[in-house]
Amino acid sequence: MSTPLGHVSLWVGDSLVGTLTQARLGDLSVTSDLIAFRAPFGTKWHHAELRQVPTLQQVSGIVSSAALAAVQSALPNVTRLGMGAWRMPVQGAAGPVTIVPVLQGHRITAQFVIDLAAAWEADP
Amino acid sequence: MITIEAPGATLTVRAAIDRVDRTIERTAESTPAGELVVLGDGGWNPARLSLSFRVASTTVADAVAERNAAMAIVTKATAVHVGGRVTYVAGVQAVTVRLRGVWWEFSVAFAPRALTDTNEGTGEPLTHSGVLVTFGGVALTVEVH
Repeated sequence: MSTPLGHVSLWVGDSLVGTLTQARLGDLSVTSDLIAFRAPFGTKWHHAELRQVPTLQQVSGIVSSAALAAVQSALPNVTRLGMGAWRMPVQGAAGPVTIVPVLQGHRITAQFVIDLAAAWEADP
Repeated sequence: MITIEAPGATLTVRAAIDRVDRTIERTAESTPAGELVVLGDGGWNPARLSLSFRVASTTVADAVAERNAAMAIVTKATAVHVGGRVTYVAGVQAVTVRLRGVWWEFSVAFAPRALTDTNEGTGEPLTHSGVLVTFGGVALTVEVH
């Protein structure tokens, strides 16, 4: 499930590299490697955790055909997602990126690595 | 109302889903000859506590500040209070956040430390001369009987 968002701008540092239109904000998924286990014939529960694994935020939106190459090359280096009055700090796109041609250009679906401890910044 | 407690902060929500999933370590199979075979020791495996709730703001449409505050508490949660019942949790196993227009939907899965006294692991940290003993960066704990 995702929610229509309007526009999402992609920033590398202070440079705007592209804007996704008809953007949709997908799920933010936080997972951890916390495991819970019980010894055979035991009763007590034990937990082990190394560390929290990266959080991913899915975003999709349409980019014009002229800007497609620039957006693609910048995706691994995106540092902020601009959404409304906020900029969400990210650590680049990761994993599969889907690009589907549509009438207005190409719809890109990507997921970005999020640092949960990094606060969102108000759009200057 | 459900209160999620983290060090130095609490979050009180009205949960849409408050569920505990438990499993018993026992499976039943049948052999090709038709004999019923029951496997497993019949003990209760560690449970999973799931909560689903929404976060909104009464003053700001995007409710980002409330969302961020809720996320900070949920990911560091140590206990969940439901009525007079307290369930201590070892941590969060998964969180999914969805934007629903003017509110955010949180789906959270916690790993309870125990649901009864009998399955509460002691998990005493192992120290040597006052220093935490680690293995590959992971703190070792011992079970005290």
